[in-house]
Amino acid sequence: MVLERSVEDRIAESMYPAGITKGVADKAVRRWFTKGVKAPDLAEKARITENYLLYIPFWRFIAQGKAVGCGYSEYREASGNLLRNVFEELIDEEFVWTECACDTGKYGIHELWLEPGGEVPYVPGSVAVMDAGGSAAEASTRGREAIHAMIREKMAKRIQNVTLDKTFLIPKVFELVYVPIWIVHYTYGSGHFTVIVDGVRGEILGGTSPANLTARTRFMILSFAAGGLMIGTALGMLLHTGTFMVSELIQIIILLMGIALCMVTYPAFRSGKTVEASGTMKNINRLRPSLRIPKELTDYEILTHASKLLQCPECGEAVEQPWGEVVTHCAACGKLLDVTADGVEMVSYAAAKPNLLSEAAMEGREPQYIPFWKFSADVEVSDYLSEGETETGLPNIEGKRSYYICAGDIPRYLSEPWEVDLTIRNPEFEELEEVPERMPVFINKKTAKELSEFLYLRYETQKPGILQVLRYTFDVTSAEIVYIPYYKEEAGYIPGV
Amino acid sequence: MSETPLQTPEKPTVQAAFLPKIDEEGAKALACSWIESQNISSRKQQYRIGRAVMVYYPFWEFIREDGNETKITYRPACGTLMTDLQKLIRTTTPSENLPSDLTTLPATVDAAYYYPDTYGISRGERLTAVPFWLISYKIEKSVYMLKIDAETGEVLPEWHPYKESINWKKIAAAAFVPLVLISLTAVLLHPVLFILDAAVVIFLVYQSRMFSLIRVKTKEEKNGS
Repeated sequence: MVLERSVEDRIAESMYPAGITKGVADKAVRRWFTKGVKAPDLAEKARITENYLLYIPFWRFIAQGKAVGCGYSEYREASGNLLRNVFEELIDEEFVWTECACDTGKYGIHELWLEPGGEVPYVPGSVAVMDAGGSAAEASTRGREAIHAMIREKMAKRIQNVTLDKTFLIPKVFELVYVPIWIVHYTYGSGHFTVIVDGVRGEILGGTSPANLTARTRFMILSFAAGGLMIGTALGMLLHTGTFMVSELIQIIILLMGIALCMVTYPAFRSGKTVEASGTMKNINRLRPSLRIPKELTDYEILTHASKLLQCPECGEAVEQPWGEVVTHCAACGKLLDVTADGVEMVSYAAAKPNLLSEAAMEGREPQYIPFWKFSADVEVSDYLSEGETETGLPNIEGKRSYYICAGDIPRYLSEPWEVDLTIRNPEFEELEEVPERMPVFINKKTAKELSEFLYLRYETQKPGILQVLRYTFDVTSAEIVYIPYYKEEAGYIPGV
Repeated sequence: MSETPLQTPEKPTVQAAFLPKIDEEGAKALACSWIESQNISSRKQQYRIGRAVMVYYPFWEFIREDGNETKITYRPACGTLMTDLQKLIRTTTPSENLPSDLTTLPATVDAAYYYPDTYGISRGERLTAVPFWLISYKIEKSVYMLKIDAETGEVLPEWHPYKESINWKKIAAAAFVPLVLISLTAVLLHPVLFILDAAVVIFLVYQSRMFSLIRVKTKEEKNGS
């Protein structure tokens, strides 16, 4: 398992700047001392022994989730009729997955609580950080799986019985982001406690504190008094020979409930929970000490961008990969190269010459050559069911045809209609000998291949009727980059082929 | 999203280390005596000492001339959530002959990070390894941890249970027994006795502060205070 050297998978390192000072963190903690079921004299008697800023690393994977989901929900009317509603869902949203990249031990910090935005570049050594551990490649895989699960969960909220469920994602960022927290250690009597303060917003993320003994004692008294009352009453009724309003079964249930109440509340109030935590620290209750030696980051070379030297397979020239580009060209021989962590692969490419009609219409203007992945695919549908009106005037795109996916830096809302248009038309074009100006390629082959399948599915869902079942095979036989001319107008682009 | 600088500085290397003077058995013995001194539980069998791991933490040693004095301060060179490591105090000098098996946690903080906190004329700084025994122990179902300075033997506790000044069994019994008896009598004799139940509950809740002090024992110090 390796990471692709692409904008999708290459790891950037960034950090949130600390938004609060030590004094503000101290004030926030002292305010927290006075809230909740804590020792009443905590604010007065607690002694803060340490208060320091620390950055915690998190893996963050941001992706555009795309999915097609079909299915139905059923419900039965009072009259006994079974009603079925059919659904067809198209999801196209951004999803964010985060995971703590170090062992926070007993504090159990699990996921990032901040939204993306406001980060600055991380300069190693400039702040106190916990060392990131584990495998970036595995974290990336976990992130992908988690986002696929999030998409499915979103789909399942509306559709009770899913009959078609296909999820795709376009990775946007996979990065290591460092987040500031203030660690405040304090003592109270003979106990040692800790509070964690969000270093950006100044909120308390969680912490341990001595509980209010008087409150716990009162809860214990009330619960045992209730238990005693129930047990005493039930025993009295069982022993007495007279008749009562409640049956013997209920008397026994009351007795058992009284016993259960005492058994549950005794350990609960005796141990006295002294832990408060927000959602991000959901594992704090385990209070597991961090006794393990932190794991080394196993794929450190990816993180530090010190991968092996990349060479052109054709001429042996060293390949420079500009930041963010996934397909680059060899400076010596001009071949187009798809660069992955495994190595460098040549990609065939062509540039389409603008047709006569567009040249005549746009006389004197130069087109932009926008890169598209062109996949020769064969789609065979084995099972198809659509409910409602199914008459359609749209052409069928099954069988062998070329699928086009825009790989350039063009917003998806603009490029998606182009992709559908090119895929339906499969335009014939003359090839230029040389590409006049190459636009960088930002979507790699793997993602583009997934998007081509999504294009097919989305097209099918856009037909009239509500799609319910679609079983098919989607075989891609070849892939190449095609630079297609587009003329830029004020209102948009006009295709040159 | 921000870009990452492509240049990464070279990692600093450890130049000196405090040598451990306490072995694993000694560390465990210190841990046992510390736990017992806390009087956490009445029965000794209720705690169990677990694994002991020695870890070298990297610290920056700053030598600063401040007036007539030369001050040496230590600051952690790695991020840590452990207590009592931010301002380490040492009276001995670290050895420059490093142990052959020395492996420290990765240093992730530059010395420059601490410059605003160090006063005086700089007379040097170096990365120093400080050994700690990390020992886990279990009380009932919970696992806790403490650190022992492997050079000095000082115990540096983390979050740990501590004895509360309450006898929970007595409180439970004080609330439970009268209520069972009164309720039983009320059912068998007359329901008006349930009023007595309510009175007992109010009394106990009102007097709960008295119960919370039930087991407080003030120890007499040697000087009689």
